[in-house]
Amino acid sequence: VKGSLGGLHQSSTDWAAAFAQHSEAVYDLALVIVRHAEDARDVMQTVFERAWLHRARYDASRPVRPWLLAITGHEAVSLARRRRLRGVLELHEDHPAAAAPGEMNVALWQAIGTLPASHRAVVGLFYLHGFSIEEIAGLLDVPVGTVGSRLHTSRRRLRELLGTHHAEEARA
Amino acid sequence: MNVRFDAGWTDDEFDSFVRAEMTVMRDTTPVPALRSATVSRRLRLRLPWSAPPDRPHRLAPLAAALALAVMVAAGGGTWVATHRERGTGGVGPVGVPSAHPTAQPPAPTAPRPVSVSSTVRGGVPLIFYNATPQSGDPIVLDAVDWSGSARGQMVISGGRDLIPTQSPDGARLLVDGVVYGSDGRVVGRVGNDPWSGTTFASWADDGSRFCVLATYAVSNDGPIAGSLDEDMVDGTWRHVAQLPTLPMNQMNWNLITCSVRQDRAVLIEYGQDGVGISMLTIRLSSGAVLSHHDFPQNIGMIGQLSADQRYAVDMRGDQSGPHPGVLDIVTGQFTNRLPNTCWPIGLTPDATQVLCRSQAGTNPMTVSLVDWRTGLTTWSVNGYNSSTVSMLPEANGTRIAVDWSVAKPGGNGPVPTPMTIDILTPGAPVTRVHHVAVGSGSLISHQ
Repeated sequence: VKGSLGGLHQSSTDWAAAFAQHSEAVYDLALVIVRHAEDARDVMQTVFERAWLHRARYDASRPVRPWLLAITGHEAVSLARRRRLRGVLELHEDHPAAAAPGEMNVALWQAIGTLPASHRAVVGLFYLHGFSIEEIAGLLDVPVGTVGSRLHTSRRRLRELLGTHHAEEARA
Repeated sequence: MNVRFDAGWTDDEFDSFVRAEMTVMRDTTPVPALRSATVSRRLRLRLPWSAPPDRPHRLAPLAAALALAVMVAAGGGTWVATHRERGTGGVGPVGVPSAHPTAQPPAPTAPRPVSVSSTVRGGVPLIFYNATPQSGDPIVLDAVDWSGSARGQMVISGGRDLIPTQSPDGARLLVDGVVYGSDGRVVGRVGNDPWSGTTFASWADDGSRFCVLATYAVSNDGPIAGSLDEDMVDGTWRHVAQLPTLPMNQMNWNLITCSVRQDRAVLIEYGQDGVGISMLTIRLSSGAVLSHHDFPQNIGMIGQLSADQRYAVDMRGDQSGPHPGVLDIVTGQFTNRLPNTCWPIGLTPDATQVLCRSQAGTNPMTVSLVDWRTGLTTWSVNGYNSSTVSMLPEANGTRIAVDWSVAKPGGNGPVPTPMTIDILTPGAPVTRVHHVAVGSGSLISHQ
């Protein structure tokens, strides 16, 4: 659901409503990209701080969720890269499947984790939030071809890894 | 898992499968509330709607900051802000206050439901590490001294989302803007400067004050500026320097070190991709720029600096792979390259040795201390995997404390060893301090 809040920049009350309405979407996308609950929470915090600080940039005639998710994508990818460079993320990630066994495909979650952060952003926006390739290109400010390439690469990678996992399960 | 993966699916069928599984994730993952402090380093949250209903929201400080920013942008008042263009290679001088503002008395702060108790026996430099059980509340910090002897425990109740920081000598801890002595008593409060953006605090090396990096909006639709302040433990603060104002998407300052003894703070500017692109050294006493370096190749990582603040480890990367080295902060040049197998964590205080780990996921996994001048490894542990490795330098000494854990072979696959804290002295035998439970145990950092 793409939300819309007219006059978003007018009052803090509107922002409270925006947070209530979109925090889940922001958090979920951040979690897919940074793969750690605390980091996802940090990203969510930063997204709403920045959105508040720069609320005047927001065009109130347009849906707010894509704007928030665009900020989320940039913030989360940036954080994930910093974590990777510091050698932290890979060994300290959470996944909802671990917290709720059987409720999400663990192999899929692990396979997504092998993708670069920039690809995870595309995966999250495409599969989780249902944006088109063109919309994602606009949100992340990258060429349509780049998004298409990242999605194609990600899909191929996920299929390969899930196929391998499936074969190993069958052998076991 | 509701549907099993089928290798024969078309892309559309596969896409439907992934969408369905990610919907499951969305519907079964609880979304946390915004924190009152994102991490302990972020002292305050200024989102107006996040304030409890019985507290006034934060629009007032925001308005104050905006008014201040307008004054800065107009070039008037006591601050002088200098803008610079990215990519020119030159730094504009950092704006320096023509007259430092007078230290302000602590502003009233709403009471927080955090209580601290302590059995720690102080009087000697301490190392605090996290021994919090899985529930996360209360936060339990164990203390040891640098000889490896246990010195007691501090318990922080009601601080589930907080991450304390410790002063370099371990005599004080900062918890959500409140400074506690190792005995658990409140000794001060920081974060009283009027900035309305995001605030980060780093203990200074003298243990009596903090460097505070605050970012805030220059205008409603404009870029974000940064301010470097010095906050005393007693709550007073002093503006040190105005940082160059950058567009929002480029503004990502990170305070690397804060040294009163060396009279300097080092900051890294991160670009959109999260990799450092410039480094700024500022004299704390005057706000003057001591050095500024742009890095076309980008700084990948800056770890623990040497005690004299002269050297840092750095990890850069490009298509040909990682390029770790020892960076001279003053010249901005590598003084020495490190083997590509070393992901540097930091330097010993005397700058003679580098703490390295092998890249995550490599086998065997190694954590080692390497004399970068000779290439000799003076300490190492090996295993099949490792959780986060971190280190703390000894204040006024040459030792470092390292926490690490590696997995060892077991009957049913690799078995993680307990998190271990070792105290390393260059050229001397290791002191193994403590074994704590698997999955917990990490050194409390200085920032």
